[in-house]
Amino acid sequence: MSERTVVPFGPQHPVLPEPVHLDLVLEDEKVITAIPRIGFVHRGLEKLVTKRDYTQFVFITERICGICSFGHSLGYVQNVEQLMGIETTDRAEYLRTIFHELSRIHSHLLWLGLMADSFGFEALFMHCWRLREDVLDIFEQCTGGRVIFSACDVGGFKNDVEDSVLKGMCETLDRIRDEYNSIAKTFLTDSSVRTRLSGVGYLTREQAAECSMVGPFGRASGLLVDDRLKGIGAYGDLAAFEPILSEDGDCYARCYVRINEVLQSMDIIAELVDKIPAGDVMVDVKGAPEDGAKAMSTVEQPRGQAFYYSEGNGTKFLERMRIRTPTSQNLAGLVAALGGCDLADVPIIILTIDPCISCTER
Amino acid sequence: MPHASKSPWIIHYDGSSCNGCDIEVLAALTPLYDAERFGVINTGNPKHADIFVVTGSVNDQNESVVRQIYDQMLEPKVVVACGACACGGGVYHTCYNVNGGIDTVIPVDVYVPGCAIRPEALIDGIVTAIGILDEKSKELNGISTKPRGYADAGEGVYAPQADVADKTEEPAEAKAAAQGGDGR
Amino acid sequence: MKRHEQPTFETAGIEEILAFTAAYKEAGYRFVQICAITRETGCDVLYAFAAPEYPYDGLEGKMVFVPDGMSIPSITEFYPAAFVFENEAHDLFGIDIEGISIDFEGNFYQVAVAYPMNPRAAVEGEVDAEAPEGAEGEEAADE
Repeated sequence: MSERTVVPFGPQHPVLPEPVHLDLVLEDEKVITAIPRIGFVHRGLEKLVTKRDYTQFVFITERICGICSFGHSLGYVQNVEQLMGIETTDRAEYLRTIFHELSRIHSHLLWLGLMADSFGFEALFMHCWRLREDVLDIFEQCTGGRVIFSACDVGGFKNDVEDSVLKGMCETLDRIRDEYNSIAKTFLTDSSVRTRLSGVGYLTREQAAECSMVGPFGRASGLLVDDRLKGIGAYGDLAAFEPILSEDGDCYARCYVRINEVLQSMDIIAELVDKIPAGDVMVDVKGAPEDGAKAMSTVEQPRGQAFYYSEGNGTKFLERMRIRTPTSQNLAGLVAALGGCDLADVPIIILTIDPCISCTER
Repeated sequence: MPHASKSPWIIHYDGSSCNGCDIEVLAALTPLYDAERFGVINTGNPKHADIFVVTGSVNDQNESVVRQIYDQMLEPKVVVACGACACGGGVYHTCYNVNGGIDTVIPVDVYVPGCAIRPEALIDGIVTAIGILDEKSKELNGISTKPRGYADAGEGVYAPQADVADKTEEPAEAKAAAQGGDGR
Repeated sequence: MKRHEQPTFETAGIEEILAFTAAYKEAGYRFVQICAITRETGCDVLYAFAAPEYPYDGLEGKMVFVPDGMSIPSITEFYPAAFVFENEAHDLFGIDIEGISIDFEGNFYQVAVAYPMNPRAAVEGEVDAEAPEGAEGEEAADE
């Protein structure tokens, strides 16, 4: 049989809360190629810099995506600080890093839940999301928001978080660690999970490098890509940081990498809370970016490296703001991973890149 | 909370939103908020759903998707616009690829504010929607909210009535036509 | 505390695109992104690459000026991941890119306004595709 069928996937599909469309070219049950089509969520946020000045734009960057909200505001403010030559305080950098790692925990728990749901393990989904609520409670306690909480600002961190609250944060994380370990054990050792994920959507290290993959998707194929290694901000003060890699390159490996990254983030937070210096969290920000000034920076978000480029024109409005998100970088890898898979595995493979469509389309 | 005679099933569509509201919609179904205790079930099939939960604004491309899902749902149906974007475009209302809130395409019954919405607000919105759903269902059947096919004073005896079925046909269409005009 | 260092931006000509991409690929650099910036008589296209080894803070940017009406070659043969960004540059800025591995031919984003990020191209796009419809609508409203 060599007759080919094109099966449309999405935009409304139960496995993803977000609209994405794929044309799957099938030969019987095998996927030959997959062609992504996006544009359902495109809003044109990069153009909004002409209507919102650089301090107002922080709120827009947070709303690029509700899951990577903090990561985007962090990347943006670091980029604008680079553009304007602002140095924020050490305490602000520590707080940013702590909240960034908390966001990673919340994002990975969310993903683990969706993953469990995609292979039909409803109870596991509920448990992951239950634990995630504890992290959201920390956000709410410190900032007042649950998913979008406007904590970062150009020049520092909006409100200081008291040391006692930071201690409480560590206690909460210690409390959920045991429960988390039992969930992790289910993911990694349960035979129904293993058989469903092992060997599915396999990509070699060479393929991963060829497709310039980023984040846990790349790390699961053994690619050393983790911009936390740059040591920007408080990451540089960590005693040791070793990215979590796996050589297996399949869906199981991607699960493994993310599961361990949650534990790693918990350790990072505990270490930084111990080391956090006292002091202000905000410096004065005056003036506007110079005409012709350019800045380029990256930040390691839960889904991988995000890239920011900004350009000033002498006014409070930026000339150009470019945000390249991890998922758009991983689309080529997704197409590669889908080639040759079974139709029934498509939802799982799509999920393992942890797609964030509203990030991709902005 | 008004007395609800049925478990409302919801269908969720994400317009051009930032995900913030979408994950809160999901969070409302998970153990801490547990909207399932009201019998709320998230379904993927428009024909099964009573309540259409929409997050995010509309653009030229997803307008037709929103309308299709709405048209496929059977009467009575209630639309809940979740979050600032679904209510009126939110922070993106000036973007070139955003046309505005959901009410530019389909009639909306309940507006839930927030950016992102909080699960409590969402549950409040769904509970309000259940009340509206009951009202609509009463109007539609012209009788009590008992399941169709049960005679009004039949004491639980199954007695399919030809005229009940006939009666429900016409008002359903009339209602749909009327709704297009004043959704609010 | 370490902060982001000021990166380097180099300018290059259209004819050098394939050469410098091949050189980066050869040296094991990772592809980061392509983006366009609207200028007065064309667009700047910024190619960003990252060094293969950690720790580094060196992102390298190559700025290529593309005058209106000129086309540039695709780099997807070296870096397949570039197809997303090249389609984007075409759909939002109206830059003509030849030989993209997965070419959507202007249907990637399907935006309401043609080439919204580039004011000059946007006017052209509207005249081509949407003006007749809009004009009719206005007439009908007047009557």
